[in-house]
Amino acid sequence: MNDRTTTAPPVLDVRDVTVRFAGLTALDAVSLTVEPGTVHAIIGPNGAGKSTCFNVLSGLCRPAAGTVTLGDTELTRLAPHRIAALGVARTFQNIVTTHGTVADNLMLGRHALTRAGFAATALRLPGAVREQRRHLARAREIAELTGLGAHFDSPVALLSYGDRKRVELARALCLEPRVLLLDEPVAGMNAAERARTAEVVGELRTELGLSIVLVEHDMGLVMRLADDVTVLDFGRSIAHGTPDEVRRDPEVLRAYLGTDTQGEDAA
Amino acid sequence: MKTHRAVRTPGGLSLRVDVRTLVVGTLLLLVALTASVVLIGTGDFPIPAADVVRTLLGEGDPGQEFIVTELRLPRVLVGLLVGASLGLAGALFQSISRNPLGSPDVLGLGQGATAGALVVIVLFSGTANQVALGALVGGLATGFAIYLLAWKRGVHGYRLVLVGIGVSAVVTAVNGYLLTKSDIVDAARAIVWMTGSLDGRDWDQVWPLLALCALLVPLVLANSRGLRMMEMGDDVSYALGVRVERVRLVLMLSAVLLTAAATAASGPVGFVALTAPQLARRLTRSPGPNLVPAMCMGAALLVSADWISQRAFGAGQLPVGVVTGVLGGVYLLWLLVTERRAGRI
Ligand SMILES: Nc1ncnc2c1ncn2[C@@H]1O[C@H](COP(=O)(O)OP(=O)(O)O)[C@@H](O)[C@H]1O
Ligand SMILES: [Mg+2]
Repeated sequence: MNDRTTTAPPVLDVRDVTVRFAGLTALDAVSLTVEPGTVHAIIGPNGAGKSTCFNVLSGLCRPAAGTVTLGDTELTRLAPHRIAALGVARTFQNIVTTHGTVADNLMLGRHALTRAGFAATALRLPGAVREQRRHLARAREIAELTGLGAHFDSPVALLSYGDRKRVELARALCLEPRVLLLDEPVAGMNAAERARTAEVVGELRTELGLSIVLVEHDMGLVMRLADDVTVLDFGRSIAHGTPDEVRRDPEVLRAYLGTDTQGEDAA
Repeated sequence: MKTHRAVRTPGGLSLRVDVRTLVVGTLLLLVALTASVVLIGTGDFPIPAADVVRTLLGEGDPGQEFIVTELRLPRVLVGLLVGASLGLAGALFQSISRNPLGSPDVLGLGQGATAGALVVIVLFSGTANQVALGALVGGLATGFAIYLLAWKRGVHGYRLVLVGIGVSAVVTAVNGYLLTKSDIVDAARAIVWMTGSLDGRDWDQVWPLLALCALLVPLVLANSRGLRMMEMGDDVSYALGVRVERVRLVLMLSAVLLTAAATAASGPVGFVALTAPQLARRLTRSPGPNLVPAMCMGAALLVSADWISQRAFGAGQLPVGVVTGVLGGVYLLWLLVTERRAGRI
């Protein structure tokens, strides 16, 4: 149904991106490269600039300097909805869903891919009905992929915290992205929910061949899933490498792991 | 809990339909149409409902036909269109500002249109059509002013409401000044206009309003999914591929146009835009902007209010704006009291 997923995703390249908020430098000449089909984790203490980095990638925040490119396309000048249309989807740190069922929410994710207008849908024109049915079938597939198959017709409000958080993940997948940005996908979940979500993210990467950028505090999860890790501290990129390299980096230990070792214990 | 049911159509398609919303919308439409028939039958020369229907279908006697199609039908149609426009505009503004008080009444769009009309009446002693044009221009200018003052990466919550209240205060003062400058004949005419009335409305008011609705309603509905998504916040909507700024601009402009045109046709009929969306939402119990139910509710409210005013006080005695003002005012107080109890204000 969508040929994007059959081809390898383009390289996502972040070059010397700087973001300032009224005197505060939230990102200071940060560079990172997300290779096609890999999981790239961004870690760092609270306020390090991880969410700001996502806002730059998804076009919600214009950097003062630097560029972001996806393949040959420069994203820094594009409106957020154009970036979404190019196949960059994201989730947010806080759960934001609408009322209604899981299916309702996932169908909102199909918004940009839906061609039939309101009138055609309301009048049940054959073309619109066919399209709607296709989208619904795909949404159900995605729900199954993310472990929400059993809840497809349940109201979101009745789901557990972990499931609700995965509704956002599934909704982002409904955009048929090539690059998926996950902002703290397991924050607030219990151990079982974390394990379940980690499994889902791993499957996404192998089955859909997505590039995934992951912001996460759970070091165990990062070590398990990530191919590359970039460490931010006070807006600066202080280390970059494989999880093992980063884990041993003295500056990282001092800036990050030194202040929060409980994640490591969990690993 | 929302009643969601998968409706199987012959094509085997499982469509999610909010059954309650559908039923409420249909019932409101029926109420509006029934009230219209009754209203057409009401007046110095009463006509039974059955005869009204027969005449509308083109089988009445010539005497009734003249009264129905030339005198009363256009008036009722203006009522339906004004009510629907105000209901829709109110739902749009309330959804965009995410605030039940963010409606055209509170924002001063009605007062702006009134200012335009007063300028034409008082300074130029213009014809009815010129007054309508003045109201349209006044409403659009006010909408533009609010947009310029309130816009700052989106208009939400109390910012829009507060700016609107400020604009409204200024315009109301201007209106008062214009009234003091007018002679007694113009002043009487102005006061009648300002209360909002359907008296003497004919096909000249129906056609422009109908044309505008025919243009704007489909445009608005085509953007309704974007609007529903925007209730989750701008960032989430952008991330899901909604052209947030454009959708908002199109919908705000449509809402301003609908309000200004409705006001130009009937004068400022108070509180319909404020109450219709809220009442509709409470009946459907469905989240989201509820655009179509609000439209049906607006039409039903306005025509019913006109019927009440004619029944209780006789034809041409009490302008419909007085009735909607009283009903809407009571509703607003009730809203404030219950919101206060619920701890939201
Ligand atoms: N819109 C904003 N306006 C002002 N400051 C902001 C804004 N967004 C983020 N910041 C600041 O930028 C810094 C980085 O924030 P953020 O990217 O959310 O950190 P993280 O996600 O790594 O915890 C913080 O100091 C935060 O207060
Ligand atoms: Mg963050």
